Amino acid sequence: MSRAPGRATARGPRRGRAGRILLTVLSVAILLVYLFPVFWMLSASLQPGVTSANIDWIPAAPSLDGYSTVFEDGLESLQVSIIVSAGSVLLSLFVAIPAAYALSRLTSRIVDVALVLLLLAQMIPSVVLANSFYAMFNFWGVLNTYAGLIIANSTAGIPFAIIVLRAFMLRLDHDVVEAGKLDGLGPLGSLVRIVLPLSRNAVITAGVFTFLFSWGDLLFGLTLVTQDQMYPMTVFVYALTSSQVTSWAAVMAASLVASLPALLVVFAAQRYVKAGIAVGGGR
Amino acid sequence: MTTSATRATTPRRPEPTRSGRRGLSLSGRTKAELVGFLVPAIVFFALCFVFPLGYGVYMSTTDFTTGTFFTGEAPFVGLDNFVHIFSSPLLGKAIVNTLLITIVSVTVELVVGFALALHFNRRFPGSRWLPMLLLIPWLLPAVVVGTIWKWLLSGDGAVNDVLHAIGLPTNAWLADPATALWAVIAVSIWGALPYWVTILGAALKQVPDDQLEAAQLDGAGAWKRLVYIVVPSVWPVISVLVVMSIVYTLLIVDLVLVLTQGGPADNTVTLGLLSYRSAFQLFEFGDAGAYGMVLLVISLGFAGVYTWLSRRGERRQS
Repeated sequence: MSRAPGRATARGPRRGRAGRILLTVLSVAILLVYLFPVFWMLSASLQPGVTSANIDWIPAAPSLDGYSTVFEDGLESLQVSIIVSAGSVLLSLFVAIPAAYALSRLTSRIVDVALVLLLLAQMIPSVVLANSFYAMFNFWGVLNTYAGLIIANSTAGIPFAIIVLRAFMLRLDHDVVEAGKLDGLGPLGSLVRIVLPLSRNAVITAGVFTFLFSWGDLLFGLTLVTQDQMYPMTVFVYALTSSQVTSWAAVMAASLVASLPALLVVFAAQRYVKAGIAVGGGR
Repeated sequence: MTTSATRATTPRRPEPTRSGRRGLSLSGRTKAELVGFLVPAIVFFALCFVFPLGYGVYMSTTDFTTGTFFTGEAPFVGLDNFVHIFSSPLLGKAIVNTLLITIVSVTVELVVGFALALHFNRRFPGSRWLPMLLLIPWLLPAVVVGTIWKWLLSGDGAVNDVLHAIGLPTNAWLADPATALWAVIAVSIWGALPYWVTILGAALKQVPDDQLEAAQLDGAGAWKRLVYIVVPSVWPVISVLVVMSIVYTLLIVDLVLVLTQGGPADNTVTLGLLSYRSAFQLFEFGDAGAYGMVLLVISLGFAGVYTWLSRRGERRQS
């Protein structure tokens, strides 16, 4: 903690090779402690039939039996989660991209009002929305549907996506965007041909975050779905933990399967997300 | 915040070339077309924010129960639901818990997150990919975080094994009324901290080298460089993170639901949890709406304070 951060020479006295190795060892130690619960999930998922009392930290005889529950009963839930998350990414981007572009180009009062509304929208408790959605969806007959879940989950993604995309679009070189005009492109043409390709990183960032919001959602899944076969993966895990009969290995196996897609998406897109995160974090 | 260092670093913030944008006159047709781009967003906001919010207010003033779904009738009861929840001892407990979880979590996340971000920002073998692994806990769905920790923190769980091995007292952390809330706070911090480290780490990389170098040549020690250069230049990111995290943590429902369901003996209830419980376990949608409105008012209160502070900050700087 005694060194100011920064790159290259500004970081204070040059650290010797031994010093740097020491930092690596310290970092690995921090990670080992911090990630222990994740390792625990993996380890426990491979030890069917054990209890808290006789579980090994490292499985002596690893077995995949714990995964049978999730692959017998959980595949429908996995499918629901994938469809709902992908759907809410598409819906969010479809709504957010044109809105963000308009808000990055317009200069009138509308923009200030819209930005305040976006901020407020993020402050509305999702449990308040869930209560209302339950009643609304019940009257409209869209409980237990993909459409209902996609719409509900997009309430987290859309305001976030608009803010991130607008922040990025504001930084685009104005002349490049204006060049489209000379070629006779209208706003839609400029958006599709020029702004969108240039904003690739921000679009991927917004998409990844929207995916994570939907994928991790428990509240909407728990409230807007009343039939087992439409449970998203998170609700499937929740239902498993609430039942008394299941083994911990099965619960941990289901937890792991429920986590993997989020990890895969982020690590696959991390090159783009890293570029976008600076904008998203500094919005 | 009004030091010269702040001013020197602020121009790096993404600012549109204001004069250029103002000077440019959008033709009427272009402008109309751009406003048209807002239509899907306006429809979505009306349908998924304004209407549900209005409906929530409406529900909070009616005796809205399961029967309402069959009869379509919800008798207007004025402020009865609010009287009901305000006369229950649960509300005070939930407000205190909600604020405590939020303030403690965000404070610890800020301090520890910044320390870890500084640590991982130094250069050493593995300094590029080790921080990426740290992000994993944040990526786990809240229900998974809760499920793992519920087991780890149980009476015969791994946390107690470790504590026992190093001679510290053990406990059924989530079942003991004295420790349950703190256990929930700790788990909430565990899940959120990696995000802070990642975002603050990205911000630290943007701290201008030349300024750090110049300060070093002027004989500024590590601590001075941290306080006068590093912190001011990442301040915008910090303030956004703090506000986002406060709002996010205030609304906490899922983690509490998985870890304790509000127990033991209602010691870990939060406003969000009470709203959920009223609606979906007791089927008293009126009370649920009333709890939701209290939560909303607190959340908007924080937003108001934030707006006021940032306005004042802007005025001071200009």
